[in-house]
Amino acid sequence: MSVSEITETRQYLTFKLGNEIFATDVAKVREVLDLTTITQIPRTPEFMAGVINLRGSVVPVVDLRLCFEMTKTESTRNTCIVVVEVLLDNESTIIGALTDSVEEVIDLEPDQIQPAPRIGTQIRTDFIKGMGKRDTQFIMILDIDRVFSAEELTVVRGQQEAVKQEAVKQEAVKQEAAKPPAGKKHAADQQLVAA
Amino acid sequence: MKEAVAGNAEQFKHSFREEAREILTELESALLGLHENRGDKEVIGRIFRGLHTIKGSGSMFGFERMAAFTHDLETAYDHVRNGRLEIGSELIDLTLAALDQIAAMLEEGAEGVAPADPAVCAGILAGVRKLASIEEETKPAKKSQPAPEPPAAAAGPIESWRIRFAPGPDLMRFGAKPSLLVNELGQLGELAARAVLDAVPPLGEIDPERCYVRWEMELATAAGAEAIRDVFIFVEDTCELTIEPAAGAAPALEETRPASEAEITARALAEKRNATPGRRTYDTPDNASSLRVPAAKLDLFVNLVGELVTVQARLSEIAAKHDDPEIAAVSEEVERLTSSLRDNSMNIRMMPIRATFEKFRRLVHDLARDLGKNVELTIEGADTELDKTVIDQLSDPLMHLIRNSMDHGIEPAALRAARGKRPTATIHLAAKHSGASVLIAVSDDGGGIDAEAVRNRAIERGLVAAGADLTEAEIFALLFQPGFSTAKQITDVSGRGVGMDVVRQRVDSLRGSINVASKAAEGTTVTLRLPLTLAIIDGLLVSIGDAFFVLPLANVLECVELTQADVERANGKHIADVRGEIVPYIRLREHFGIRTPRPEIEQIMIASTEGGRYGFVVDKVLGNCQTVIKNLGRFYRHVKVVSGATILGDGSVALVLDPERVAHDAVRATAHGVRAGPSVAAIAAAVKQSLRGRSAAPQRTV
Repeated sequence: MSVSEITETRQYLTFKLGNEIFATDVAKVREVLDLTTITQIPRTPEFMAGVINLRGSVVPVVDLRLCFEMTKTESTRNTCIVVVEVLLDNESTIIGALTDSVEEVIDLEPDQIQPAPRIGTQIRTDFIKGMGKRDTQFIMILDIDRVFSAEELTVVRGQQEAVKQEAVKQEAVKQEAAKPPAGKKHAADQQLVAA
Repeated sequence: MKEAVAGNAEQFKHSFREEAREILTELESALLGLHENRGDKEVIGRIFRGLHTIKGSGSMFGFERMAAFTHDLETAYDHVRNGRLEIGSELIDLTLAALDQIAAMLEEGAEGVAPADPAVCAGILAGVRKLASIEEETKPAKKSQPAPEPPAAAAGPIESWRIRFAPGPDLMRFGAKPSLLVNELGQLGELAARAVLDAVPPLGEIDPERCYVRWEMELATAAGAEAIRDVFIFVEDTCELTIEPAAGAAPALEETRPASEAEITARALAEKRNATPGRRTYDTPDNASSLRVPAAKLDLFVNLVGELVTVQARLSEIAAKHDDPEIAAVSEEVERLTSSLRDNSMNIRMMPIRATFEKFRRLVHDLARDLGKNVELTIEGADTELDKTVIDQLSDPLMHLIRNSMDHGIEPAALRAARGKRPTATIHLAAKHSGASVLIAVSDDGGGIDAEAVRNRAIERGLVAAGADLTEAEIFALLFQPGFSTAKQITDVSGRGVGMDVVRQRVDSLRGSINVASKAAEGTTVTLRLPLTLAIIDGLLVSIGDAFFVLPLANVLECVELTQADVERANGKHIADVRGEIVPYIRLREHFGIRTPRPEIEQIMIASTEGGRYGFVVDKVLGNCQTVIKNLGRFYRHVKVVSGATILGDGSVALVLDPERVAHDAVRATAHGVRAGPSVAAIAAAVKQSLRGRSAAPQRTV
C-alpha cells in the first residue's frame, strides 16, 4: 500500500524505537502488552526474540529494533509488546512487536501524510507507508505486513547464518565447557599433560 | 420463512452429498474389485444398490440430472445382476467415468469444481445404452416420471406389503418431499396409497413448514422389503416407518375409494396379531451405534480438552505447593480424569487409513491404463489408525509418491521381461505403528533409483560440490529438493520436479521424516514416518539454565547422570558409557547457545532416533508432563529442532523438542565443522592449549 491509497482520516498507534516515532494503523493492532517473559527459540536469528504466552496461545515476538538495524531492545519499564495481526502469504498471523515505548493513538488526515523520502531514513523505504507530521515531529508510518513478510523471507538466510554463528559460538562454549572447575583443575591438567 | 426452508434444504442436501460421496468411493473400489473378479455376484449387487441409492435419493433432493443420468447405469447393472449382460472392461471403464460425472454433478455450484460435462455424460450414456441394448429397445429410459408399470427386471413372486409412513414434523423443513417418496414406491409395483389427514390442524394454526400428514399404503411388488426400505433410506431416522407383509394374499388394489380409517386400523390390528416374526420396524434405526460429527466440532472439543490439560497442570502445581491432603486428593482425581478424557478424545480423532489407501486403487488403475503398464496395487495394514488431521494431509504426498513410482519406477513391459520380472508390476502401500509414530511405505518393484544419475544431476544443478562424498541416503535426500527431477522428459504424470518437494514440505509440516531405500533393478521403498497425533503428547519436562524444554516421552529410553568425572574420563569426547554401551551425546546447552553456569551434575536423556541412540544433556529432569502442543505458527515454521511449544502450569512457555531433528542438526553441525570450520582435532588441540596455558596461571578462577 502506498501513500496514495491513504484517502481518509485514520487512527494510528504511535510508538518509539530509540528516539524515532513510528506508527501503525490501529486496525492492525490487537492489543498492547507490558513486557513479559519471552521464551527464546534456539537456533533462530536474533531479531526473532522468541514466544510469549498470550492467554493460553503461543505468540511469536519480534525485536523491531533489530529488524531496523538498530541495537537490540533493552528491557525498561516502558518496553511494550504491540500485538499486531499481519498478513503473511495471505494468511493472517498474530505477531508481537517489541517496542521501546508506546505513545498514543492519533488521528491523521490524508493531507498530513506524505510519501516516504527515498533517502534520509535509517530503515528500508519500502517498509514505510508514509511520513506523518505532528507538531514538529516526523512520524514514520509502517507497512507492518511488509515488515514481517520481508523479515520472514530473510529467516531462511538468517537461520543459516545463525547456524554458522552457532558453530563459532559453540566452539567457544566447548572450550569453556572443557575447563574443569577450579578445584579439579590440577588433576585434569596433569591428565591432559600426561596424554 | 422461505429462506429458512432453503437453509434447511441446503443442510439436508449437504448430508446427502456427504453420504453420496461415501457411496461413490465405495462404488469405485467395488468396480475396481470387479475388474479382478468378474463373477462376483455380491460385488455386482453392491454396485447396483449403490447406484440405486444415488438415483433414488438424488431425485429426492433435487439432483434430477444426476438421477436421470444414473438411471441407465443402474439398468445396465440390473442386467448384469440378472445375468443378461456380461461385465467387461468397457462397462467398468464407462462406469468409472460415469462416477466422475456424478461426483461433478454432486459438487455442482461449489467453487473450483468443474461442472459435469453434458457431452461427456451423453457419450457415457450412449456407451452404456449400447452395451445394455436389450432393455433400451423395449423400455424408454425416463425415470423422472413414475413408471406406469412395474419394471420388468424385478424378479421373484409378487408380494403385498402394508406400509405405514408417518413423516417427522420436520421432514419438509429438511427439504424432503413426501410425495416423491410415495411416487417412488409406486414405481416398485402397484400401489394404493391413502393420506391420513386427521392430524392437520385448522387453517389458522397451520405451520406451512410442518408435515401433518401420514400415509397408509398397500403395495404389491416383487422387489422385497429391502427395496421398499431403500426408498425411505434418507428419512428413516426422522420418521415412523412400518413395513409389514399384508396378511391377505391379494390386497384390494382395485378399491378406488379408500377404506375408512377405522377399517384400515382394524385390518392392520388384525394383521398385526398374526404377523410373521420377520416383520421389520424401523422406529429404532440400527445405525445409532455410530455418529456422523462434523470435524470442526471435534477440533473444538479437542482444543477444549487441551485447555483443560493445561489448567489441570496448574492445579497439580498448586496442590503440590499447599501441603493439604484434601486438595491433593482432588487434584489427583482431576489428573486421572483429565488423562483419560485426553486419551479418549484423541482416540475419537483416530481413523483407519483404509479410505485413503483405497482411493489410490483408482489412481493406479487409471495411470496404468494411460501409461500402458500393467500394475496392481497391494495394500497392507489398512486398519492402522492415525489422527484425522494427519490422514487428511497424507493424501497428496502419497499421490505424488505413487505417480512417481508408476512413471519412473516401474519399467516398460519389455524391460521387465528382459529382467525376468513378473509382467504385472506391484505398487505396495503399507502402514504400521512403530512407537509413537506411524510408518507409511510406498514400494514398487520397478527399476530402482539410479543414485549416480541423481548425483550427477545434483552436481549439474549446483546442489552439491563436484567432489562431495555423499552417502546413498544423502543422495536420495536430494530427490526432495524443489525443482529436482532426473526425468529426461516431462510427462503428463510426473517429471516437473514438483511432486517430491510437495511430499517433503507436507511431511515436514506434520513433523515427520522421509526415508528412501532403493536397489537398482529391484525397486524402491519410500517410508514416511509420521507422528500418531499432533495435539497432545506425554513428555518429560527438563530444564537448562532458566529455559524449560519438553522431550516426547515416547522417544526417551532412560536418564543417566553425567558427572564431571564422567566428562573427564571421556577426555572431552561427547560420549557416555551406558552399561558398557557407547552413546554419543549432545550438550543441548552448547547446541542451543545457552550461556548460564553449568551444574556439577547434569542429566543425559537417552533417546532413540532414526540415526541410532543419542544422549541429550540437560541440567535437570523435572518430571512427567502432559503436553498440549501449540504450534509456533508460520513465523517459526523454519525452525526444525523445536516442534512446538507448550504452556506450563505457571504460565511460562516450554519448547517441545524434536529429538530426531536435534540429533540430525547436531550431526550436521559437526559435519560442517569438519568441512568448513576447524576440525574436531583442531578444536581439541586448542582446548588442550588453553588448558596448558591456564595451568601456568593456576590462580585464575573459572
